[in-house]
Amino acid sequence: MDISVTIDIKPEWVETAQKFAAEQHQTDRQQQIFLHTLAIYGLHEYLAWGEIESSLTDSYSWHPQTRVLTAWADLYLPNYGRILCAANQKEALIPLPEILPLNCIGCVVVDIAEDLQKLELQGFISTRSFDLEKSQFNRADITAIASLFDELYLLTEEQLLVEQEMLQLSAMDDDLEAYFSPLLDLENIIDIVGRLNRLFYEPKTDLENVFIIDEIDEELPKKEATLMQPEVLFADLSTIDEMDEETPTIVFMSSQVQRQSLLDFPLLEKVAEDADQYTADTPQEKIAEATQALTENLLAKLQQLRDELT
Amino acid sequence: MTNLLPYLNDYQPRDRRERIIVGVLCAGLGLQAIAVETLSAQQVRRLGFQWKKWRSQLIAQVFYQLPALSRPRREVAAQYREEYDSLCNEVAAEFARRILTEFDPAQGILGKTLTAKLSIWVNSQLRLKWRLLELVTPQKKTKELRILEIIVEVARRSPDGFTKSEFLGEITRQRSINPQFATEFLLELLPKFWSAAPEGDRYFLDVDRLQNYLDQQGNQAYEIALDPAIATQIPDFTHAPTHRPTPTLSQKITQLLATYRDNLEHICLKNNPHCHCVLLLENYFQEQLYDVEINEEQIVRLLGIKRATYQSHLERRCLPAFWELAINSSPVSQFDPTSQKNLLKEYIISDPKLLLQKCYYTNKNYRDYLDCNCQNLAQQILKIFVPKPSKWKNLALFYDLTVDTLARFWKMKCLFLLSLIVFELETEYTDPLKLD
Repeated sequence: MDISVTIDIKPEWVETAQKFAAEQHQTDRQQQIFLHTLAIYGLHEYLAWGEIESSLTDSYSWHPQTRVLTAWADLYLPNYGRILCAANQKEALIPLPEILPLNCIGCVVVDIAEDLQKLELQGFISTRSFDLEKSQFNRADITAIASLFDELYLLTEEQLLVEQEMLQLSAMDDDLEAYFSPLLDLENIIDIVGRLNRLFYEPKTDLENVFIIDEIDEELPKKEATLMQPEVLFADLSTIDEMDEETPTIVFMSSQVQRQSLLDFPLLEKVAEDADQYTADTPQEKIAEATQALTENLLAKLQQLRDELT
Repeated sequence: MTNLLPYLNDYQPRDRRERIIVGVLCAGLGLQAIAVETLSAQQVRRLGFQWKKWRSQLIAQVFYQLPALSRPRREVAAQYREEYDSLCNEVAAEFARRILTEFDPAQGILGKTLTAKLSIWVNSQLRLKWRLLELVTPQKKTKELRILEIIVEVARRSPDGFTKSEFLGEITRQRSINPQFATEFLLELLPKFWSAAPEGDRYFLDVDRLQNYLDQQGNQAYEIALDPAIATQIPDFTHAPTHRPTPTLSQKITQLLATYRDNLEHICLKNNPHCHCVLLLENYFQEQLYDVEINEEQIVRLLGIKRATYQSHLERRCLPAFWELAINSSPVSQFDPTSQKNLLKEYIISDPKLLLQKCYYTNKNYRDYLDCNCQNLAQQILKIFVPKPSKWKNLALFYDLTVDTLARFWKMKCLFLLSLIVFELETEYTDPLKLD
C-alpha cells in the first residue's frame, strides 16, 4: 500500500521547535531547525503508533550543541541506530549531510504544511539506496513509509545473526571467547551491524579504510565508543564556537574535523599503534584471522538474508 | 468471533478512504488468521514486525481518518488540546487492541457506512465521548468537591456548629478557592443539610448526611442521581407502610418510579447510556413535586445533549411512557373478579364529573374539536377497550387532524389526565379494602 501518512501537528511540538529555532541567529538556519524538529516529532509519533521505541532526547538534534553542529535531523532508536529526516525538500535529488551519523538506518522524507496543521511522512529510503559519492539520494527511490518496519526487522535479524556467529566462535576457543564476550553487548552488536552494513553500501575505494577502522573498533570496543562519540569532538569545538560567530563555517569545520578524526585524531593513532604491537602476539594473530573470516562469513550471510527478505 | 470478515467481504466501499479502511482491516484479519504455532522462530519475529506495521497503518489510516470522532466544542477546543491529544492516543491504543476481536458491524451499532459504524463504535464502546466529557467538565466539580470536603471536616471538628469565619479560615489556606465562591456554595448547601437553623453566625450541619452526599458526589461525579437531600424526604418503601395514611400523589409517583426503574431505563436509551427516562423523570418530578430547583443547563451539559433534545425527550417519550405505565399497572385498570367490573373502564364510559369530555383539542385559531376529546380517544386507544388499537393514521383521518397533532394531544394531555384519574380512583379503591 503506497500511501503517505498524515499526522496532525500538535501545538506543543511547534512550541519546542520555535524554542530550538530561536537559539539560532540566521534566518535560514532557524527555519531549517524549526522544520527539522517538527519532522522528528512526526516520525517519533508514527513510530509510537507502531510500538517502536524511539528517544527524542538521545537524538543529536535535541542536544543544544550537537543541534548547531550537525546539519542533519535525526531520531535515535535505542535498539537500531539513527534515522535521518529530510524536511520540505522539493527537489528530485535530495542532498544528504556530508558525514552520516553512526549506524544510520536511512532517511525519512517529511513534508510540512505551511499552516503548521499537518505533516506528511512521504516515505522512507534505506541507507543502502543512498548515493554516497555525491551525498544525495533520488526522491524517486523512496519507498512507502511502512517499509521502515521491514528495514527494522531486517536489522533485528542481522543483529541476531551476528550474535549467533560470535557465540559460535567464542565457544571454540578461550582466547576468542575473552575477545568476543565484551562485544556481545547489544550496543556493540548494533555498532557491528552498522559497520557491516557500511561495507555493503560504501564505494569500493573506501572499503580498505573502513575495514581498518572496523578492525580497530572490534579490538577496542570500549575506547572506540568514547572516541566515536561526536559529543566529545564537538565539545572541543565549542571554543571555536565562541571565537567565530558564523555558524555555517563551524558546521563545515565540524564535519571536516569529524571526518579527519576518524583517521588522524592523535588518540586514535596511538590506539592503532597499540594494536600493531599486539598483532605480533600469537593470540592476537588468531583473533585477527578469526575476525577477518567472521567478517567475510557474515557479509555473505547478510547478503543471503537480504535476498531472502526482498 | 465477530462477523467482521464476512461483512468486509460484502461491503462496498463508498470512497477512497473507505477502500483503504477495508484494506487495512482485512490485512489485520489476515495476520490474525496466521497460526503462530506452525511458524519458525524467524517467522514469528517477522510476524511481530508485521503486526507493528499494521498497527501503525491502522492508527494512521483508519483511526485518525474517522470523520465523526467526538471532539471538544470549538470554544474550549484550544484549552483542552493537549489533554484531548493524549486521550486520543489512549483511545487509539485501545482501538488497535480491540478492533479485530470486538468490533462487530452487524450487532447493535447504528450507522449505515463502515466509517460511521467505526466512529460510533469508538465514541460509544471505547467511551471516547464520555472520557471527553469527563475531561471537559470535572474542573468545577472538583472545586466543589474540595469545598465540600472542607465543610465536612470543619463540621466534624466542631459538633456545636461552626462560624463563617472558621470556615473561611480553612478556605483561605486553599489558595485556589475563591472565598466568595465558597461562601455562596456553603449558603446554598446549608438549607439542604442543616441539623438546626443557624443561630446568628453559627451553622449546624448534619455531618452524616453531608458525608453521604460527598461520597456519592465523589464516586459518581458524572452521574446525576437522585439528590440525597431530597431522597431523605422520600419515604422508604422497603418497610411496607401499612399503617400509614393513604399515600400522597408524590409518594405514589416515587414508588412507581422505583418499581419500574428497569423498564423505564430502556425506553429512550440511544447512544447515551447516561440519558434515560428514569433520570429525566426523576429530575422532572423533583422539580414538580418537591419544589427542588434543578439546574437543567448543568444536566444537559453533563449529558452532552442539546437542551431542546432533553425537553422533547421528556415531553414526548418519558412522560407519556410514565403515564401509560401508571395507568396500565394500576389495580383499577385491571378486571376485578370480585366486583366483576373494571373500575377505570366504567369511569371512562360514564365520566361522572365530565372531566374527560371537557378535555378536547383546540387548535391555535381557537377552533374546537369537541369530538376529539379524552373520553373518545381513550375508548379508541386504551388497551382495556380495544385489544388492538387502530392506527394513528386512521384516527387522525377520523378527527381531521395530522398524526403529529393528535399524538401530541393524546400523549401530553389525555394520558396525564387519565393517570391523575387513575391515582384518584386508586385511593378510593384501596380504602374499602383496608376496611375489610
